[in-house]
Amino acid sequence: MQARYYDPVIGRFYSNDPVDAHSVHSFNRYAYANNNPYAYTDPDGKLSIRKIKPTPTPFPITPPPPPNAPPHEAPNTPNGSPPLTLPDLSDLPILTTTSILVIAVAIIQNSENGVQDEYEDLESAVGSVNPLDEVEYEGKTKSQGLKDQGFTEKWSGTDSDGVIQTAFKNPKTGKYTGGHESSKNDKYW
Amino acid sequence: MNLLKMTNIGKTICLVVGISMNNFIKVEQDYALNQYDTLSKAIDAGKSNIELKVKSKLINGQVVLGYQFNGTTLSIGFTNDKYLVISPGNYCITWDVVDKAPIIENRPLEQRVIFEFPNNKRAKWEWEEILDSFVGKQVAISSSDQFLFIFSRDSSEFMFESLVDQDNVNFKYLNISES
Repeated sequence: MQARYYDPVIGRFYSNDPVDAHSVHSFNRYAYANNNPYAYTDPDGKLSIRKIKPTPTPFPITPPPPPNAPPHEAPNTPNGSPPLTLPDLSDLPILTTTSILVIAVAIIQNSENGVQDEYEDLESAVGSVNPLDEVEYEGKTKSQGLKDQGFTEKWSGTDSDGVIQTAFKNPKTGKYTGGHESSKNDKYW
Repeated sequence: MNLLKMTNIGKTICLVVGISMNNFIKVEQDYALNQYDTLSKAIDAGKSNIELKVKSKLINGQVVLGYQFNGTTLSIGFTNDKYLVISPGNYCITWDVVDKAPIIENRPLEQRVIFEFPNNKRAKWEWEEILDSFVGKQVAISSSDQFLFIFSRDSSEFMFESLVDQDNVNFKYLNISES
């Protein structure tokens, strides 16, 4: 670890995380990898990042040619410039916001050949991302009307636009209702 | 002198009766709530009405000037001359943001209504306390596929819901309660 010391016996850092809390797991700033080292990694002690299983990459990555193969003919680009060379994502086990930014920087760095219009937005470039897979229990529902239909729990998560979203859960059926943008967002003011 | 005394007695009796009388009304949610397998799907359902999302931005962050409420329809006026109009609809809360103050039918409202839900829980109809708390403050709204939520800065989140009177199924109450 570079930013703080980690005790492997207790599974905790000795000092708190120098990076501000940014997710539902990060409020415990002494935890390592969101208390889930199987799913997360924290290489420098600053930020827990999610590991993902190898999945079909959203980029059409062409495998490198064999050593003596003839030069690969570049596909047509709008201005005849060399094609976009993309970073090899096969070893990149991350699809968090941070990693998306890393990928975006890589794309921008590779787009100096005039093909920066290849992708219209980040989602087009990296594929669909759904951070709402990680949701936080907020507490008990207070509305009697909701409780009357079994929706007794309030849950929230942050979507890919960084907006906190809230819905009500029926713990008996596992179903959700009333999904809406949370009052916790600062964008209203 | 006698008249004055009688009047005082009369006032006292009225006061005592007014304080002790709670009107219990059996209600239930007007409609079954939509159910989704994941929180993401519940959120997506709430995002589906783009037109309303755009309208909410007309009043979000604006200061409430006042309101008018008749038990079923609520109109909230804002300092930017916009009005938020809310009422029970079909399987959802209906709401809109308009430029002119809507005409709302005047209807006397009982001050101490206690709703009784099918799960035998009771809740006071606290519309006046809650709506009064918004006057003079910046508020914002957020909608789901069936509900409308309202909150002021650093306040709790409140939701509008439609409750149907079980003894008079043609009458719907617009309830506002903490979510």
